[in-house]
Amino acid sequence: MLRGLYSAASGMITQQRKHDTITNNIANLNTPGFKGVQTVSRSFPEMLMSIVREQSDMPEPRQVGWLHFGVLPEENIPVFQQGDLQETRNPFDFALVSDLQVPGVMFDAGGKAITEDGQRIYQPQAFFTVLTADGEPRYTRNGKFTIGQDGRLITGEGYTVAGADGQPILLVDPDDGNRPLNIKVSADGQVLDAETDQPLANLLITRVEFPQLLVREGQGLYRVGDGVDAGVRPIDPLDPNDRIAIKQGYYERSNIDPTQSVVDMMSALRAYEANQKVVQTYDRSLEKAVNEVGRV
Amino acid sequence: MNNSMISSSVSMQALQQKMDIIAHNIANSDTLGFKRKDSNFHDVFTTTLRQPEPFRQPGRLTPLGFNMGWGAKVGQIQIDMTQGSLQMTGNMLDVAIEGDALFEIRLTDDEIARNENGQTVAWTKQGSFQFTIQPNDPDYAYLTTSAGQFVLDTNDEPVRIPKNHRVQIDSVGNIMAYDEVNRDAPPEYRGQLKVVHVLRPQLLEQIGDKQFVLKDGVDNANGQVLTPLNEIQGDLPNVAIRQGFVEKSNVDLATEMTDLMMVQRAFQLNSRALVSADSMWNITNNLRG
Repeated sequence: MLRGLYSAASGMITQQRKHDTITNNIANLNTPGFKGVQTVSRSFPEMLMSIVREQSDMPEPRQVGWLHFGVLPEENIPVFQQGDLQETRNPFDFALVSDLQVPGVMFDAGGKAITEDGQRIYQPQAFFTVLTADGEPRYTRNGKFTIGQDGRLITGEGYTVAGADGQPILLVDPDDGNRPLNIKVSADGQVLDAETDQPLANLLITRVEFPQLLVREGQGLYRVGDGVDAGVRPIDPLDPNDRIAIKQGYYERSNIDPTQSVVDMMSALRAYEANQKVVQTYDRSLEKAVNEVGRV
Repeated sequence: MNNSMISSSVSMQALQQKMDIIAHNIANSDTLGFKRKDSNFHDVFTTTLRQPEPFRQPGRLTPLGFNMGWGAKVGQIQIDMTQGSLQMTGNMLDVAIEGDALFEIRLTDDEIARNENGQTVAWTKQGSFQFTIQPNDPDYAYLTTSAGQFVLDTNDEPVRIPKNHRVQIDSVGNIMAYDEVNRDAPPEYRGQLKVVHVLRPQLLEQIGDKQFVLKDGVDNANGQVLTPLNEIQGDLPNVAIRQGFVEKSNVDLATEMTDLMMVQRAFQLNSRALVSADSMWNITNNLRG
């Protein structure tokens, strides 16, 4: 068949995936700790085209040039820009402000840097650490926590928030077993009893060097895939490159910009329509070939 | 198209639920002792389309697999236990609590019969009490809520005052009854109001608009959710009982209206995304003919 027909169809599919991703971003405009996603498309690998049977006495067909045969949606990249902070005054809401540094690299406003030899580096990100029922670590930026029945700090879905040694955080005074009436959390994650200033625990904040390698699980959680080294380590409070701040009584809003999302959505829709026109044009050409060529 | 449509419609349902919660708060902005509800969103699960090995091309950033999200849903709905403002009424049976505490009341026999989990007590912040005469005990007036539930004292017994006495309640809940007929008689001590301090408001559930009960399966055996004030050792939390006052609703209309506007605009944006997906589908349907 005509090759262009399949190229146009692949274009339509790619624009549809783009549209789906943008719609999901819009849907999560008010989800705390949500990080937007961008679809990246890629051309099919190039193929070298040759002329078929130009002259029968030529040993090899003559090559015309390189051609791509379509486009595909390659991946969905999370964008880890810092979201705005919103105050709720709830002592169990936490916002994580993350500005981690890599020595010798200056990141731009979008969290990206390009080195002199053309290498792309993305800014490392900090996350709260939570544990699944099996004790596996998951990472999240949604800091809206609450208290479970046994005094553990848990997320809204019931995942345990991890403390500095990877253990659950129990809001209990270690000396006398009393439950604190209120807690306050310092900017580096130390949990204190609000009345007595007794330290109770430390929030485990994890630094992920290559946040793009995290797998998004939904419900605001990220995990490290099997066999992938994303450069995960706990934040070191003494390291000047580990610049984070935890704000109690605030939560981090999603980092989606509605204006940009609507513009991108319109652009995907129009590109979809343009590809449709290409398909229709091919259709009309084929119709001519089938119905009118050779009509007596 | 399908993914877009599903994401949009799921999120619009979630926004509708949030709108319901906000409307409920606004409707109760004048209800005495009402505690507003707060909710937030979570993103629904993510599916990953598998990509075979040839998809691993140079310049790729994320691991193999194409992630797709499916919208947002309402996550936890929490009761906001912030103190409402106190209003003086002068009615000696209006009792307001200043601080993080609740009165303990015994449910009526009808309510206990209807309860599936066998709970006989509930807690309330609404202190508009009244006197009720029980037919089997005509010399005493029982202190009850406006729905007829008995208010309990620290011995877990209903508070009762001899007839023709007026009550005086001090800031820790001690009840003194003064004889109206025989004004020279000394006041009679009638017990102390049972007031519980709330440690974990997240584990309470609000039924009706006035009373709280423990959520299903939550156990208060060690006082980890609510503790009677007179059993707390160490520093007492800041709780005071004020006779002659009522506590107004803690709904702040400005905050609720702002939230309502945000939800409305998010709803509108999601419906635009749905219309856009619909246009795409229309384009596909008109591919030929």
